[in-house]
Amino acid sequence: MATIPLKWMLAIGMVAGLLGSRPVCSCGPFFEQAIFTYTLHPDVPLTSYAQGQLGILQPTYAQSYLYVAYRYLIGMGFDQEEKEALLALWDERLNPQADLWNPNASAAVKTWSDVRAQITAAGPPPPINVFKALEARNGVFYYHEYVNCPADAFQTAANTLTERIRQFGADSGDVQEWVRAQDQVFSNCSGARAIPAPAAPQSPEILQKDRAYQIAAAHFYAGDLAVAERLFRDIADDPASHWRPLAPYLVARALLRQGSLVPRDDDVDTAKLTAAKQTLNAILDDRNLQIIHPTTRRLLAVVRARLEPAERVHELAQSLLTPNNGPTLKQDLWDYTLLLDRGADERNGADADAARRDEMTDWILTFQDTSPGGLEHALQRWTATSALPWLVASLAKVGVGHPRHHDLLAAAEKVPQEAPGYASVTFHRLRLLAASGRRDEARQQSDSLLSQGVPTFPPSGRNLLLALRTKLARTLYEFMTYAPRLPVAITYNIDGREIPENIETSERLQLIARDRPLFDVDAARVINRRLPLDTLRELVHRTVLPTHLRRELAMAILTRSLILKEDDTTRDLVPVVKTLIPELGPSLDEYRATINREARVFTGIFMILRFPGLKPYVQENVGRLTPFDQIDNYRDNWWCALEPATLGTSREGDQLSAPLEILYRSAQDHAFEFLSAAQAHAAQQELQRLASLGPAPNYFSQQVMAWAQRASSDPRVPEALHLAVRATRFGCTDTDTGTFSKAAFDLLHQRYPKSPWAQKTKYWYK
Amino acid sequence: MLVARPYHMAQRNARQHHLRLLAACMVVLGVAAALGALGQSPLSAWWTQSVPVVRAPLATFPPVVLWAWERPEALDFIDVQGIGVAFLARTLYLSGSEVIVRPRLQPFSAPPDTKLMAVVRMASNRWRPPDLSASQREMATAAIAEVGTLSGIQALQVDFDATVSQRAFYRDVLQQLRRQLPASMPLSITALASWCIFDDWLAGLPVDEVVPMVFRMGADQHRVRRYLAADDFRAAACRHSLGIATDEPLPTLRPGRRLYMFHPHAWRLETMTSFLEEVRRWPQSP
Repeated sequence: MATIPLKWMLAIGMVAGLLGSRPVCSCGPFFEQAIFTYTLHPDVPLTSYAQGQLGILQPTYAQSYLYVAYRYLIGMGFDQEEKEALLALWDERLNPQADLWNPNASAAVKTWSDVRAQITAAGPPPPINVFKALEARNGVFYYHEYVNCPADAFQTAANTLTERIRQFGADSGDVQEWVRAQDQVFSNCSGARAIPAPAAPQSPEILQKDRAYQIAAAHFYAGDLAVAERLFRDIADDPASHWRPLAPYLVARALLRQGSLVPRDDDVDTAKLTAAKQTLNAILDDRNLQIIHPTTRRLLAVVRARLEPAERVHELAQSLLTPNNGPTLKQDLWDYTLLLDRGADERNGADADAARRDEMTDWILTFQDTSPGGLEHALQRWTATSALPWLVASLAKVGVGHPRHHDLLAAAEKVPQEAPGYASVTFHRLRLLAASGRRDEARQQSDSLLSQGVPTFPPSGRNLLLALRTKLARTLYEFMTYAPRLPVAITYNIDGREIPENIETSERLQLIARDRPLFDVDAARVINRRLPLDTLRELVHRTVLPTHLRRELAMAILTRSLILKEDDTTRDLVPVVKTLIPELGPSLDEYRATINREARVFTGIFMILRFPGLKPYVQENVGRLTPFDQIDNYRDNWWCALEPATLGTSREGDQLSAPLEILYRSAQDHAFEFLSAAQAHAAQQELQRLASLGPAPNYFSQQVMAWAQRASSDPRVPEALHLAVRATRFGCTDTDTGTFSKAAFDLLHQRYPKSPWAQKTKYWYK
Repeated sequence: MLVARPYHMAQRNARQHHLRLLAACMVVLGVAAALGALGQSPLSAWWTQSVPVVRAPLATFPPVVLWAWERPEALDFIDVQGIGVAFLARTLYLSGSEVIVRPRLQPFSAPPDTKLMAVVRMASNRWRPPDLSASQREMATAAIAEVGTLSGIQALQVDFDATVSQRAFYRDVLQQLRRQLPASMPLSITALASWCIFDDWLAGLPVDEVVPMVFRMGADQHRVRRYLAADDFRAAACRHSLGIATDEPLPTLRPGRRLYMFHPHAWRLETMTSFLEEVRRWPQSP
């Protein structure tokens, strides 16, 4: 028995749609990651965005955020009620526990169960499962489930039973019979078939009318929709039935299900949907049925979404552009974005044109369109309208190779700071200035914006400005000034929705989220691949970086110089590394005190063996959280075989985030003023040498065994061999690692059998 | 972690030592065989199932299987002779002492005679970790077994990224499930690639297929790809099928394996065709 029956169906469908639209979370493990610029949604909390602080809009934003942007860009804005509606919608969509919603355990089902429990003579309540499967028919395999019995069915049943108890008493045989019949109704929810018998002729009339309704409802949930339709019509024609006002609505529901509860879209019965629409319109025309008009309007929206999706999109677009529409905005926006999502999979040529019939929808779809066609369409619309939304869209896509970029630049320069799209316009204007050679202008204006802390650049936008400014660095010092960025969120991002974690929940999260800037991929790439050791050495001595990043850099450069056997560089680094990494002090003192060069090299390798967190490159993002003197349980120890093109690959891969990609679209975008050809060449040479070393465990084994042959009496050798074998277990391996592991193992046991290190080394690892 | 190879140094009285060792091994093996006959020892599982198990029921399943996940999927374009479908039928959330069952809510259809595998995904509630009790195991097993009764399916697959602390629970679920399913119903499971390389806990599971998923690998992706470029999965059970995705680089492919394909959007004929072509052209390891 339902009054707003499809609310749950829509909610379920929308949540399921959200589930379906996210990538499957099938693997892992997943680790903490820093987000520097959100890609799917604006900065959280979203209150600022709802207030109009748009930041630098991303084409990857979900459509609900682009809708808000559009309204601000056309100068419309939102009133307070509308802003609250927006926030409520986003709260539901970003709720990380949305997947765990269990309609079988809903408040409505519990309400029904609690009321029913008063009728003890009816026995224990049967279990309730609100889902029903729609299965195979006509040879084609078909399967999915749907919410057959929505929340209001249980609420209505609870309310009716409460009233009947009041009227007849909990001990009444008639009420007990009523409950048994209702149990039968709900048993149809999940696929059983149970139709109550008509009420006894001598039972009170009200209960007979209730029974007629229960029978119709049972047929409805059992899937006998044509029968249910007829029975509800009978009730609608029965002047004595107190269910009469609701009955026409339920007729429409039966028609809707007949028309739409079908295996495939091809099977949709538009005649039934049209009949449902007509029935609902008739209800709306009947002032005597005003009590169900709100419910009816909602159902009519659902019918029309199935029957006339393109028209419905445009109606919703119009409604969404109607000011002061707080009461309906959330539902309208939900329906609108759902229809756009649904249309995305189905959209082909003709449909694509239909979708763009209204300006707002056209803009949203164009803004998201990263193809060349998206740019050309945006430019056409801007040329035709000179409207700010189209300027923003065009600027977000254009490169300096396009002949219209000068026009766009000129228009962008006229957008005032108080304009809603200022951040987007300005960022892309500066990007184009930089790419077209007007680097000094771009630098000056970026510096001005960064120093002012302009509120129109929320943290994500600020990080993009920093990324742009990093590219414009004239000197290494400048590069290092702008390279560190504060993450806007720390997340595991398991479901891909970029939801920040509550840092209080984990010590590991607290390790990261101490308002410490980190390197993003773009900066790490330059440090790891473009700078030779001489230049890197210079960096460590400078204090431009925060201490924790300087320490990270020092570890990387020290390790690199040690394994490349750049003795002079290493000795030069020792004093500053000791102050930054005191844990390495004793080893570094020993290194410096060792006179023999080969022995010094071995000292360095021995040190690296004892500190599994040492790598010859800096890690971007959160890096390795395990203390650097401890083995990481996920084998992030030392380094894997290094490839020059991807040196410094982090756990999550060497990929620029989507927002950063626009800064690195062409080969020229990768050029840095402060890097000379000689430096680039030297860096490449070093990378080749690093690549030739192979994965760390192999390297260690080779080096240690070579030293063991040369200086077998060195008391450190047994431990070094033990550590080398350990490295083959916990470090990165390749097909040769087993050979090295066995060789080191054999040497340890053959030459130092009584050593405690041999006792500790029970296995070698293939 | 892979198999450790104990090394026994030559002893002074090597011959005597070797004889003692041989005797000890014979005793151990004899005990193991006896226990294995009784089915009482996990060693019997190792003993009898140390070779990869590919039961006949899955042998006729097509070499390519599309994963149809929780989104509208109408796969009427597939060639049912060469392409099967593994469709997500249900998701179970293990939460506290409960099992929250989320059915498939998006329509799925496939042409007649399609070889169909129903997939049940299990996931843990991060905010209310599961208690992994016996009753939770019973509920989870029952919810999975129920999917096995769907008419029209030829196999069942369970997809669960069990943590180390959840492995015993998962093993029990699979064993109980195997007993509840008809003997003719093949049982497949997905596996993290790391299970197949750095681990061997899959040995002895009562399943007909293990599908290592070489996509969405999170922290392990580079290590796994590098490893597979040089070597095959260490766990033998993982060498018969492989899970790949259309939006990630292909790993090293080895011939003769059933490929399960994931696509982050609804499958279209063009997408499937182009991906199959990409797979065909991808260099294969001998």
